[in-house]
Amino acid sequence: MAHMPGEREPSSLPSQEEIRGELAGIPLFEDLDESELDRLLVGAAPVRLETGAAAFHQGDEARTFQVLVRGRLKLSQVTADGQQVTLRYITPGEMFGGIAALNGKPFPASALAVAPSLAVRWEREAFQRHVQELPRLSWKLIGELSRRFSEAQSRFREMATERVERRVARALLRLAHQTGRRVEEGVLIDLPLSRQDLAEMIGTTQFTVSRVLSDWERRGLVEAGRARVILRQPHQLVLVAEDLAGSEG
Amino acid sequence: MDELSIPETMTAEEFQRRWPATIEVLMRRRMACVGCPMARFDSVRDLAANYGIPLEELRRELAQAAGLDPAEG
Repeated sequence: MAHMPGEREPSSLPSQEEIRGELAGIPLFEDLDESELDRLLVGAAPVRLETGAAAFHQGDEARTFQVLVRGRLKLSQVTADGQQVTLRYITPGEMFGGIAALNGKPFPASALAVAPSLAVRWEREAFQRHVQELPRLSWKLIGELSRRFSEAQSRFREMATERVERRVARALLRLAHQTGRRVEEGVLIDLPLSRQDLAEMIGTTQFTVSRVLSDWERRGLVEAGRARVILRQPHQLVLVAEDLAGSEG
Repeated sequence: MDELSIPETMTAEEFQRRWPATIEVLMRRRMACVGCPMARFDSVRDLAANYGIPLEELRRELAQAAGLDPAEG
């Protein structure tokens, strides 16, 4: 017990006891009892990150498992063609870099502090030992991994469908502009237009086009017969095509 | 007044072509009509409905911008 709070610098790192307190409040460790929390402290090291500092860089060997205690990190990836993509933000209580550390691959993304942050980290081997020795920790970890996985799945689905929706909307508007005719129900695309035609125009499958059109039909945006399409709410399609949520025209 | 006004059945494409000054109203209200593929189909009435603007208010603003409504403000 060499720890004397009054003597420490304000910016200095927390003591083991303080780290223990922080870890006890993290969801991943909430099922651990007192003695298990003590064991978890073995190999735990606090890391302070000023705004702009990197917890790790994309491509680095993943040697550590970390949890964020305070602050906020941005997880971003640079694609092969140089585009930077923000994957997600890490908030207090979340683990980060853990998946790479678990599967032994290099970090697929960089983690940068976007606010002054405090993390706790373990060397890969140390954390692996904890996982092997603490079943309640392993179970929580599996839960967290499956939550991340379903989050990734639903984001993938959203991106895939949103993109194709915009493409279908653009194609219909282009066709309506070229060949459209005002009719009582809306704007009729005045040419025989099958789902297969549309699919080929925008480089997707007939199935996908059908799915998008059925959804729009349900919502009253279009009326899509076998070989003719009426835009019942052209303005709504413009909003889909332009990805407008009250931006300029 | 109707002689000097923009008919509610006139399309967005037509009034923009005839009175380009009306574009300022569309931009200010952040409407997507400028260059929109549907501008040739949607009338002033449609625009008012799409953007939730009272029809007469929109007509008055467009007419003023077009210089058609000198009578009053």
